[in-house]
Amino acid sequence: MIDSFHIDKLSHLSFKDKLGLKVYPWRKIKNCSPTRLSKLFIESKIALITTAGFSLKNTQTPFDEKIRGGDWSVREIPTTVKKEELVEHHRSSTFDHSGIEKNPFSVLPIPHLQSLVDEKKIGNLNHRHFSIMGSITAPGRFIKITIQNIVEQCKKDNVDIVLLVPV
Amino acid sequence: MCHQVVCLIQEQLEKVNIATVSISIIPEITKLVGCPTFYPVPDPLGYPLGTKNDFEHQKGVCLNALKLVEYTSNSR
Repeated sequence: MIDSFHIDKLSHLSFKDKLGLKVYPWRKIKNCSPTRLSKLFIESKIALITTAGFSLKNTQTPFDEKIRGGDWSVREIPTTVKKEELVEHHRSSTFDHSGIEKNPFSVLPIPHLQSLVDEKKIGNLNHRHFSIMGSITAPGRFIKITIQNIVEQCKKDNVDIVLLVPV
Repeated sequence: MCHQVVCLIQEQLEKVNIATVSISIIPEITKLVGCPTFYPVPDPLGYPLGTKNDFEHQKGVCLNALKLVEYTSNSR
């Protein structure tokens, strides 16, 4: 249980939303220790996951905000994506979406990581990244299907590190 | 909810030896779920890399988070 009534960053939420967070049955991870990199950090391949619910304009189905428990699907985003191609579909009204609308890369920092690659501060970027819609209150299908799909794609791409960006 | 789904993904990636790190806006939730590696930030929901849309600052947050993976890996 979290004390959602006394967390500053949640103070703008309604009483109902705070209560919902307080009584929500949060999932718990057990016995998960960090992986030791099998190669040098500077040689590692990196992929991104954002919870902003981006889909590609014109070529991907938008996330469906009407799905009960939250749309548990995933969209692949190519590293070469243009800012204008990203459309946000996060269904939550509990945060300010204007920053994401102004700059989608503020929550999917592909240009930032590419710049770090160019400066030789990190290894290299995977050719694709993943977008999910983070407002999933019933994560059963997400765990069984979507996460396994993401894991398989990352294994197939020989990804070493994943940076996850919740919104 | 974003923080919970992120932690759940991390758990499964770490199981197949893919290292992970997440940004955390609400560390109270991240800790409760039991995330293995996270980088807490002072910014509000909707702005995980900062509110000023400052490219260099956002880049720095990403690098700091990724460096946490290197640090954690080397310390094991």
